[in-house]
Amino acid sequence: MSETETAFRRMKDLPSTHLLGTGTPMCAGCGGLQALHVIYDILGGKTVFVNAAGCMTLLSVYPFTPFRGSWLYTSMASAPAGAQGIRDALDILLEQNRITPEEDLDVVVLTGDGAAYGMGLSATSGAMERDLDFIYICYDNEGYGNTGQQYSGATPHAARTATSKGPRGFVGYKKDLFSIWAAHKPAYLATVIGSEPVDLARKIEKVKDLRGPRMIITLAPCPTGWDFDPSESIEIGKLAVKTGVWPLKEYVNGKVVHTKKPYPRIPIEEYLRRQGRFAHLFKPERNERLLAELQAKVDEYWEDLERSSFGTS
Amino acid sequence: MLGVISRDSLAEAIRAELATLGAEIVDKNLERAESAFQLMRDHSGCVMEGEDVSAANYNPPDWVDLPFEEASKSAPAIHAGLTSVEVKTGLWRTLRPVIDYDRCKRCWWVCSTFCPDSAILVTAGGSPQIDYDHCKGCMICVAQCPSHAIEAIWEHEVKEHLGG
Amino acid sequence: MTRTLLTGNGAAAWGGRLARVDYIPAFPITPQTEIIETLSNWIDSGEMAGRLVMLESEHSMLTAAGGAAATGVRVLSATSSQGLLYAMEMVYTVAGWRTPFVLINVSRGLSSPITLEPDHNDVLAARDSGFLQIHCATCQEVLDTTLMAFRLAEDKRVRLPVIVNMDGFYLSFTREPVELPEAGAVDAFLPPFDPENIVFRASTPTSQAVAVLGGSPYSYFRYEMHLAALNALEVYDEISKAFAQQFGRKHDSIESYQSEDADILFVMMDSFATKAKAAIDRLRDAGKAVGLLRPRLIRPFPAEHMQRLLAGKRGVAVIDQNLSIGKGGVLHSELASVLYGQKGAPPILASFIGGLGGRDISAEEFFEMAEVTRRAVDSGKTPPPRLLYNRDELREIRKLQAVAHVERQELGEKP
Repeated sequence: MSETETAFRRMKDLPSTHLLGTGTPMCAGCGGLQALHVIYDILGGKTVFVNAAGCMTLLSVYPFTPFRGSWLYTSMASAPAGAQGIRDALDILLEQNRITPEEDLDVVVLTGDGAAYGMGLSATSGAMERDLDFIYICYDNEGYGNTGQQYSGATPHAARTATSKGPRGFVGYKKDLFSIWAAHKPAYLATVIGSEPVDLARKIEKVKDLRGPRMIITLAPCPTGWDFDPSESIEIGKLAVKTGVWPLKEYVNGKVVHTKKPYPRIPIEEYLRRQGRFAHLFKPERNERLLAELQAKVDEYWEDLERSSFGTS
Repeated sequence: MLGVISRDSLAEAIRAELATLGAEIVDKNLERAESAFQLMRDHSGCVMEGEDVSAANYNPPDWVDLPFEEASKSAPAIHAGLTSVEVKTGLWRTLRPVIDYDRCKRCWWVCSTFCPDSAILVTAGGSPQIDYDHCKGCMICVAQCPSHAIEAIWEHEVKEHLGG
Repeated sequence: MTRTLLTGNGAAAWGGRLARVDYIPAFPITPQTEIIETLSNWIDSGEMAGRLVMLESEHSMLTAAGGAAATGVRVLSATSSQGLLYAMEMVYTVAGWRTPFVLINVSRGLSSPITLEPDHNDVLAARDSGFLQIHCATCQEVLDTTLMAFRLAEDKRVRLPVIVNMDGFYLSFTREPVELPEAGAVDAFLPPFDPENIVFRASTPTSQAVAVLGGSPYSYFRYEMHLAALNALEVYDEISKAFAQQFGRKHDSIESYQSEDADILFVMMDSFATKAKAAIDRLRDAGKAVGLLRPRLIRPFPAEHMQRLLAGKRGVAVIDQNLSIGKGGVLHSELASVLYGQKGAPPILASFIGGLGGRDISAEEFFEMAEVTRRAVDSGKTPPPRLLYNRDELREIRKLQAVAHVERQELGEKP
């Protein structure tokens, strides 16, 4: 969809009616909820959200639900399979005229990084391989948030988590879920973030019009897990983009295209220093080696991008 | 509680539990704990130990035989949308965001889009309105408003600030 | 109506086809794979409407089954043993969704050690889950029970998924004569599925399977499942009567073979009970009045019916083709709990463990179990639980151990 075709050109074009209900138990300042509320405004209530275990499972606790549409909680590992069952059943009912087309729903899987990067990877892979017609929203707060922020497949190098409290933080590296999902050649795949709502809205608009597996990963700044004041949630999201830590890109028609290129790209420290989970890189003294390593990794990503023949937009 | 836990054992527990967070944080917590302890002491008598229940003379529990109900009622499903609005998450707040409409430029989309809880509504005229029944007081709107038109006020000072 | 030779797997597939299932989420595992292959071939050739989708694991398969049932279509799935266990989280979960469907289990002994032939530890592992379970002894029963299971699951007084169990190899791969009912007759017996308000439709937003916090509300939802499962006893009796009227075959919740005038009874489940019947015929020839009770319904457990059938009997030999490690036979425990304190309960309830991993039970073993039980009745002393295992078998395992280089001490036993 070109610039001229999108309904979302400026912030003014964003939805002013909010469809997702208030009163959920998500933390104050939850970056995942902020992204979800923009997404839901665009996808609307003709949806059934299929959830895997994580923070957002608590969106619907009997008898309270914030959805105008439908919802199904499944398990941690198998939300995409639940989506498969619902989608197939709706298709069967539609084919046989047992329901009218107006009764159809878009099936949307909603999971955290714990399910998406780890336990649910097999079910997601299966669903994509079967070319399931569904949307997948992963809110990535870079750890097993609901259980207290233990490290997950999505935890970035050097982050302090409940299970990586040593002086160097997490010794592993963040898994490249985007590339894993891209290898399945889905109909659409994109990274988004709630602090860039116009970019997010455009991508969700595309998702709405396509068919097949449509995969979205949103970085979800997490005051509770990343240790910062809730009021900073959006600012930290903006910094994630400006420092190049969270590239905004999409995979469509076999190509990876970056929808926003931070220029100038500011030093990663501006992002890291705002979060308590990286405090050990600065106090009691600066860990120059690790800071340099983290900066180098980000530099490498963007410099490779410059050099390669793809990825221009 | 008072009479069971002494000031000293409270301080000792805090030191032991929070030792890893460093002296500065421990001291802050000791200070807060002390004032909380004082506050409660002034009201000692509000929470009292209850009497033991006598096995010789008790109110029998009012047991019922749970009646069978069809799954249309007894499945763990919510047969409606939007019931979460009945949960007043506004009670979470310690800080309240208040919009100064003289400063507000009616770019409603910033605060309203960035509020994670959909707690900022936009009127037909493009004016943002905070739903105080549900606003959790995260203060994102205060931080993000481009014209700095939103102020953070302590909940317990709201009456004074808003003049009653 | 056609009379044909069908394997148990074939009979199960026919059950699904005649029930006009809409959706079959599938995953292969020995010894049930022919069920899904048969259904898949029928769908591919156009002989059957319906959709079969291969999921990438049984855990996903059960989730898809529940998701489709929660949307309001008729669903059939099939698994066994390791697959059932892999799915076990979702077995419990989807039962709590109150979405009815039928899961065929082809029983197979559990790992470790991993094996292929049948016993009942797999299906019994699901007994607390909320799934109902009905056990079959013949291929005819497999077909008939599959049809009854849909009607049972979908009944408003129940609304729980149902496992239909058959023994791997002995039924799954063995051809027996089966009467195939006509499609029209089945349609009269089994109307289309009415999901009521447990559906996903744009016009009726529903949040299903939501979290429930707090012991009180949680207790409500769980106990309602239990009440629904207990309702199934009555509903099953109605359905089996209706089935008998329509098709001329009656499948009671407990099959009774020659038990009215017997004071010694065998109690066992599934297809090996057929061997018990043959042994009973020989025992009767020898003047011994022995009978058999074969519970078909395991969940809900037909407690009252069992109490009535056992009242006044002197000795019961419970033959468990399963083993709860550290406790013993599951059916034995269940019976003991049902009989305790009941007037006229048999004084002797003996436990035998046989048929694990498909180990055969010989006629002589049935005769000897009857004898042991008779002696116990006469002496008034309950014998200790016995694993059916003989000296030849022990010699055999020693030989295998020798090849496997297992050190063993000679304790004066003859090789």
